[in-house]
Amino acid sequence: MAAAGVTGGQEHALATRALTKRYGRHPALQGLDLAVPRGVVYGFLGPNGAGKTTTMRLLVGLIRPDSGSMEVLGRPYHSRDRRPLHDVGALIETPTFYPYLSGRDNLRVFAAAGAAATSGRVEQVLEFVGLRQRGRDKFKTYSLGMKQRLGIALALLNDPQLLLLDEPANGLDPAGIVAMRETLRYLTSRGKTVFLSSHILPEVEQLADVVGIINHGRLVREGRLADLLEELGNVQVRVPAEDLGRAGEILQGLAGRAVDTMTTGPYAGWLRARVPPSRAGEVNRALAEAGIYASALTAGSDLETVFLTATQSPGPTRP
Amino acid sequence: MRLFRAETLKLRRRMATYVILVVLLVVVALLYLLTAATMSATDPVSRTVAMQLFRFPNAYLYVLGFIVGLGTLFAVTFGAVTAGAEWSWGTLKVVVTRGESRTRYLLVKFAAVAVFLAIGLLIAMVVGALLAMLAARIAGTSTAGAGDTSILRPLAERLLRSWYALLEYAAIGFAISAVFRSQIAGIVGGIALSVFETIGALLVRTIAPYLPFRAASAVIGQDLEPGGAAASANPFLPQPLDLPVAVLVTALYIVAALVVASVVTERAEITG
Repeated sequence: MAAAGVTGGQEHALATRALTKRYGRHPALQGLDLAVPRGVVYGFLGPNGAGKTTTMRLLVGLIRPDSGSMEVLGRPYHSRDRRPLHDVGALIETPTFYPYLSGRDNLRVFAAAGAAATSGRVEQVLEFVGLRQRGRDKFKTYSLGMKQRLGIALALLNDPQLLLLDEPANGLDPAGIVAMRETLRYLTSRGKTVFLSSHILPEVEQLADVVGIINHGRLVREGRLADLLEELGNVQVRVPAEDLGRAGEILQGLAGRAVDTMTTGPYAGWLRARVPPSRAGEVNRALAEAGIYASALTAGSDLETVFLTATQSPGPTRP
Repeated sequence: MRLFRAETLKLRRRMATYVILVVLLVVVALLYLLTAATMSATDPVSRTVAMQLFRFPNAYLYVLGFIVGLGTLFAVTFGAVTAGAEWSWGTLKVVVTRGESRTRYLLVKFAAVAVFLAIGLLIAMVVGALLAMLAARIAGTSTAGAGDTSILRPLAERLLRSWYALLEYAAIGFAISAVFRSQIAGIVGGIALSVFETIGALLVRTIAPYLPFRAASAVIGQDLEPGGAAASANPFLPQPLDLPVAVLVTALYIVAALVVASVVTERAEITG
């Protein structure tokens, strides 16, 4: 049944409305509105200090908002009622465990807190993250990657509907990153939702269905990744040097804005226009009709471009 | 119940639990064995006093007196390391993210501390009694009264009262650790409070018996502490509370400590 309120009647896995949080005089969040659909990987991005960790901490009840509201899996969530978190698994910042306990015992003791984990679930999740053979070893003997995997195992312990993961690829080797990616895809294929905060943009680009970008405590961009990439796509062309000026005018006409001449890297000397990749053919045809024959043309965009475009706007002025 | 079992598992597996008990037993052993070994070299009056330590069945009460006297600091330490470690290791963060109630978590944790204090007290009592018998043999004293069952009932009652007092000391260490989010703060703060209270008792005689460590001490009973009779006769020290009042005041301190620990933890912003 859909919950009214933050999500305006539509039930999301996670939603916030006008969430604010200050640390002293520093505003960490300034009216954050999030709407995370169910069954997707949501990439939560932002520069350092943008408010990502503060948001994560608020969502799991480590800190309290100054104002605003939150809904988790369609239920209002606040500090007095933490039950909605019973269906949530979280890995926030560095995984922390009891150093003197084994990996298995750590999971056992944490399984006793909050939502009850089913019998045998500890062994299942240890197997799932590839730590069953090392389950008897003390946590303090684990490598960084093993600690991270144990953190992921802990997040999966109560078979949550919603996973909140803060930099889950930290310390993982390439095989571990691939395994984590497959795990997250498997979980979303089963209808789970993953809210993923990460600095590794290519990783998010491979995983995320929906992206939200936060800057200066506000959501500055949100949407389906495919749409954002299309919207912020580029077409790059290499044309003879004597045609650069005319080609630039044609591209500017198509893009409706200024065109860059790239000066460094493998594309030095190329023209780059902010045109959706789907219009690459149109660009080629317009140049050809003007008698300019491109010797090369590429089209596309990446999350980095989307991210930088969204976060390069100046922040709010401070009093 | 599963949370309580998890807490006992953590305490069972933690080295600090055993280190605290072993250090206590080593100090008791040193006291007894050194006393026994040096008895022949002491003057007759001191020897007569020392002999009381080895004369059964009353020796059991002296053993308990030593354990509880020293146990004050150990109980404060045990309470402090149990609560403070959750902050030091950042594990409270995990518990909170799992949707557990902070207050419930703390109270269950303290319940586990209470159980381990009782077990530790019993183990210390048994080992202490064996040490007293060994010391009696070294001192050449008979241990004939060791099997006297008439001591069992008063001993059991005093064990219970001692545990209750230790619980208050542990609650103080527990609360200070929770407030300052540090094991060290709990240990140092608890011990400092004990020292200041002793000094304060000499200065503010009217309220001195109601101070936490003195109230708990009154629950144990002055007769249990070595030198206790002399202490109660000391005109510079205030008279201890009557047992019922002492029990009530101690209970209030335990509750107050847990309320403070819970409220502070409930309101804490966990950012580390």
